[in-house]
Amino acid sequence: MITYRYRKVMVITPRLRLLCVEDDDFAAAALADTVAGTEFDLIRCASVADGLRLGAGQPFDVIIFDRMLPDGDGTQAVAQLRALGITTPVLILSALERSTHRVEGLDAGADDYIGKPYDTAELIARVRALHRRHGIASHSAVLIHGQFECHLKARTAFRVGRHIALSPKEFALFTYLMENAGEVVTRDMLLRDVWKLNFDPTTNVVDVNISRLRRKLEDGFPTPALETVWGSGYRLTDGT
Amino acid sequence: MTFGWRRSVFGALALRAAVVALLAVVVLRGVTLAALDHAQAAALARAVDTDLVGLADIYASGGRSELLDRLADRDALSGTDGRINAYRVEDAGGARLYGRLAPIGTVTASAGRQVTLAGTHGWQRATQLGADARLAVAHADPAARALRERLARNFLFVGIAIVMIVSALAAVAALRLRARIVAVSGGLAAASPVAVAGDEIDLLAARSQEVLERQRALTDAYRRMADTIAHEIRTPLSHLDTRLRGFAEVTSDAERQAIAVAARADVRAVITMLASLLDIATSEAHAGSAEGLVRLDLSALTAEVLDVYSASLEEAGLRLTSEIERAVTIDGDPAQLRRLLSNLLDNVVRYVSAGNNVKLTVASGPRITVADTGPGLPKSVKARLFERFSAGAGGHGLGLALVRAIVVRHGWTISVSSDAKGTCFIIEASP
Repeated sequence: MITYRYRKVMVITPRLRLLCVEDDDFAAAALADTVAGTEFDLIRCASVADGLRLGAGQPFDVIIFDRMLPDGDGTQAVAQLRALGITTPVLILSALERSTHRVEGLDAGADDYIGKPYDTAELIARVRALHRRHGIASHSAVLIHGQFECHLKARTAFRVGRHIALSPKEFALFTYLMENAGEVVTRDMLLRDVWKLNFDPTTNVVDVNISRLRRKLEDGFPTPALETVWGSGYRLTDGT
Repeated sequence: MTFGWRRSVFGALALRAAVVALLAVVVLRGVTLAALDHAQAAALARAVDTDLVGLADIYASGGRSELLDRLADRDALSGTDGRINAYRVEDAGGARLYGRLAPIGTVTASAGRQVTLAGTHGWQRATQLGADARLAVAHADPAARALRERLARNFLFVGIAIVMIVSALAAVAALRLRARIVAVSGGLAAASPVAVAGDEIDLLAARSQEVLERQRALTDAYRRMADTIAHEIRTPLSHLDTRLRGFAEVTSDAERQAIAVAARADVRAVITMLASLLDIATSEAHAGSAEGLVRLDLSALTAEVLDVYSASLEEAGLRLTSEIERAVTIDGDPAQLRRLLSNLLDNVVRYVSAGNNVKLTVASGPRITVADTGPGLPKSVKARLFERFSAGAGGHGLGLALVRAIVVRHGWTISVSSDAKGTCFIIEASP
């Protein structure tokens, strides 16, 4: 077994085991395509029974569960895994994606829930976030990413040591971007996680709020703070 | 529907009413007759005493022979007032000197006794007049006895009549109530109602329970159906989306990529529309039911949504004011209420031109208003405003249909007033 270590200069990403419980071959193939070229090794099975057997019997970093499986509902399988004491982060990926379904999944013990069709960048970002959060016991008081600092208790933001005055909602948005620093954050993620809106408003609220924050973060600095990833979302840069 | 009287709670009540009426009549009859008997006996005893005193006076003044003469006179007149009087005068040895009463025997002071005179109950009293005579006087009042018997008979007839009337009225009332309850239960019952043990109330309770269970089964069936539809439509759409994404990745032609991106946007729009339609249907299915609603602070929730929209409203050139009463607490579905407010604000951003004012208020009740100073709604739009697919420019025209469904789901009403000076949506609790 090779042990990987993070280094400041060269980052070697360790391989991560991802279990996917999905009965639809096409959807499973699409998922395999999505994670191809990332740090994830995908192991697939197609039933609740196999999902439980593998999920409980082998170590995985993240489990992705479908819901409408031939031998049952994925949410029940998640509840069974949790009852068995398996704490592996679980993301439910289902065509059932209304708020009641979402609540059912999270109540059963899933850590995240994504509806189909999904945005590939969002899926990867969320799986990574789940894995990252699972490793950290509690939130730290200060988040640091490149030139940016986010002091959670004091609710203040800094760029290269300079204080940036943010309104409470701008600070919430900034915190979320910092938590997902370096990853693409999609519109759906912002709507759902920052503003608790489980749908896409027909107007440009996301763009307007993002551009306001961007203006404050970039005001007086020569380099961009936020980059728009065309067709999928936004990413906080390290500011350099 | 067969439902026996033996198990009827109203039948039992009617029977009890009849028994109570019967008891009341019997007791009343007994009390009345006892009082009458007492009064009649007292009157008779008084008459006997008066007679005895009068005759004793005659004896004292005129002696035995005078007494016997007077008694003969009295007997000659006897019977004219309907009363029967009888006497006996004896000598010291107990030999009969006058009268038809039985031998007096021992005379004790102030003692009287019951006798029978010509078949009628009467009262007799005797006294020692002197050494050579003792006198017994007996009275009977056949008219009074007849009155008593008539009264007793009348009580019987009236009593029977009262008991019958009470029974009849109670039976009619019981029948009516029973018919109504059985009708209500029948209306609630499934096509093949299960027999119920117990009375009408049990029947009603059982039928209500059946209705609730059917309702629950129906809601579950609806939910499964909606889930299946969503799943079966979304799955091929996700495949389509994946294929389009793959296509966009493999082609290097910018024009083809743009087409693929536009096609993916269309796929998303269909999915959004499907979700909205299912949301509307779900809200309508749950209309007025408290199931799934939680206690929440509407003021805080509104402030949060407004926070998200304030920048958009500003960029759209609209001046926003809000009056949100503190801590308006309601039972609601938070996700749906955010949707409701967002849809109304989306509409404002999209349709109200720059330079206008927008005012949002939340008050207890609850009462939510969203008012703008825009040009107002055309009549044709206003008439079909809350209907599905009644789109203005852009959108599927499901936004306000969903708003109304959410309002109805919470048991509220929505109305809109619109003229050249502006438009105002008012959401409030049903009166």
